[in-house]
Amino acid sequence: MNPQDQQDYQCPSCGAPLTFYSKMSIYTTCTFCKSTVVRHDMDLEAIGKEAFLLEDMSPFQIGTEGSYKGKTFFLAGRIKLIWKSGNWSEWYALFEDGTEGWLSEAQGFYMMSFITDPGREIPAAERAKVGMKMTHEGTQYIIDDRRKVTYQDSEGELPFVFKKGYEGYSVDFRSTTGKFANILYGPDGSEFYVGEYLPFNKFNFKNLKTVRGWEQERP
Amino acid sequence: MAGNKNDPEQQQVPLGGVKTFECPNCGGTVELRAPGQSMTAGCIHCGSVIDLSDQNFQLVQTMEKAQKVKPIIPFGKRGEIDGITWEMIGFMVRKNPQAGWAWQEYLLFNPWHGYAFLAVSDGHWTFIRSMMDRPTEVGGKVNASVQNILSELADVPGGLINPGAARIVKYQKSSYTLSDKYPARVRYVAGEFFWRVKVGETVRVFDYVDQPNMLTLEKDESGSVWSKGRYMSPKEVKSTFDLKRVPPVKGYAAHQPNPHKQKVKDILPVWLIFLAALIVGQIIFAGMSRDEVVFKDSFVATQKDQLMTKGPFDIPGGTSNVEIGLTATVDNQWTEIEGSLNREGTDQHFGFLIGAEYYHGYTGGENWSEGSQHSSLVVNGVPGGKYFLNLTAHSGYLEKGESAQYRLSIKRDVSVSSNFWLLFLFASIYPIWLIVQRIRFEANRTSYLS
Repeated sequence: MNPQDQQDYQCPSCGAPLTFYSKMSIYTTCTFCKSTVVRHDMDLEAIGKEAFLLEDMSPFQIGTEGSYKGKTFFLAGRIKLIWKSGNWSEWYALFEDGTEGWLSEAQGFYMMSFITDPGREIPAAERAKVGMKMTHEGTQYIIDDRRKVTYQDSEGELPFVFKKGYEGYSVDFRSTTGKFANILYGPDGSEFYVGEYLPFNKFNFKNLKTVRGWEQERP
Repeated sequence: MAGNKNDPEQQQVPLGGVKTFECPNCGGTVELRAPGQSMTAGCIHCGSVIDLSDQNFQLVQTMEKAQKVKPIIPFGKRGEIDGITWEMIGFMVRKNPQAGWAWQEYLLFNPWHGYAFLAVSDGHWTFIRSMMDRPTEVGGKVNASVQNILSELADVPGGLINPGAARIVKYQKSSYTLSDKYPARVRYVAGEFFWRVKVGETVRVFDYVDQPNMLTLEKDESGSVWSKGRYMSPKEVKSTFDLKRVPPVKGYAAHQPNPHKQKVKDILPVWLIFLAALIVGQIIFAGMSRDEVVFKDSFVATQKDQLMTKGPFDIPGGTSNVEIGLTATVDNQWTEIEGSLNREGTDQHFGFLIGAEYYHGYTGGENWSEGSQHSSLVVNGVPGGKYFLNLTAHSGYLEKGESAQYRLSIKRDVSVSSNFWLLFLFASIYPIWLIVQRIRFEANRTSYLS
């Protein structure tokens, strides 16, 4: 995150201080009045109210820092996605060099992935079927999961306008090289991500949330 | 804002890390230890299954009779396994509906490391973590790219091809062999789970074993999940969770490590080094023995019980052993020499009895033979000095009035192998017993599992 990208505003609804840390972020929630705010160039518009995200057992919070491949990042936003058999969170990670990634947190599995140009048109959700293959930068990927997802909750700032209740799709690819890919069909279109899983300890997280009931334990 | 029973926030009373709500079926208190993450709860009072996804606590299933199964590891109990502290939050009973046997699964939770399972079946415990990557199937001589396609498609939900399970899979440089495949049906749930689960749900399970590890594939229409487990001894589980009792162990598990395997492994180098030292020692001693011939004579006896004296001859050097060798030209006959080796000028004498018999013939179209014309014996502790021999000859020849021919030789400081063999045997009793135990365990296990 480049400090020069940080912009401070006042919440258009209640006037409380409101900050965007990334140039790319266009959506956030006011931490005081819970209004959802969209940024158009320099103007802010309050578009609704977000219910308080119920406390859960995630070890992360907005502001948690970590490092990936030698670069530090902090978690500026979060979306919670729910599907037939469970839920998981995607954290919007802002890197010190201004790049952005997504940290996926699912049942103790952590993957850092980045929006990538797949080099071809992203197929429509109905056409992306399990078993389909594609090659990207020398690695062969195969779709091994396709699920309907609901956008359940958000927190902090995001590079797209979050639509609560939006029903999209998430398509997972695996490869033989330890890389994983994903297509997320969301409210603002579809994106292709490439990433890898790492154990919790490899990210050197700082400023983690204190987990209720686990105050005495360490990661 | 008066307390509203239907308001989810009002219903939840945080208790440390535990949130609670009322079971929509029986009104009993249901505790949540991983709120926000758990999708399903099973009421510990009535067995009902409750959906947690939208905070409305919708009842998914009620049991006809209130069901209550008491888990061995209590809810909320924490224990450390492989450096990570886990808390028991969910409990499930699953059953193989075809064969009728049931087992228990415990869902363990840690906020930073996610989830793990402890499964127990007939007293055998397995500690399980799920995997993001998957093993590769090891085929026969199938062309690699064809094999890849087959293995990819084998996991397609609904199955474009259903070639049956691979017999061997490879994961992280180890090979695992298919040991069992069976359907698994959920029979009871209590506590909370991070996925939607219902009583009656069935999946197909494939167990692959590389002791003490096991890879398990669970497949149903919506997909397949791989997980890796390791055998955990009842003792380890008991001490991890501080349990008063664990279920008794019955029979054998495919991934159960052979308890004698490690003992054999430990003792093998010690045993082999000892045997090697023994062999080297024997070679050295044999090399050091002089094998000196101190007496050699050929003679003939003509009378029954004929008494003869031989010598005197010198046995040089200090005290050592002495080997008396006899060669007699017996042909379908026996002979025996009763004698004593007497030291001149003293009372010292060493008595011995040496015999030879040799029989041979041609019976039923076959040549046979028995015995030998040569024999020898060893006398220990013979000091150096001047000696003579007193010999009495007995033989079948003499009884018949014929003569008997002998060749007698005496050697000093000979190498003897009897000590060597005694030690060899003695040192091998325990290791061989361990090896037998190890083999018997495997044999019992194989017959139990088939």
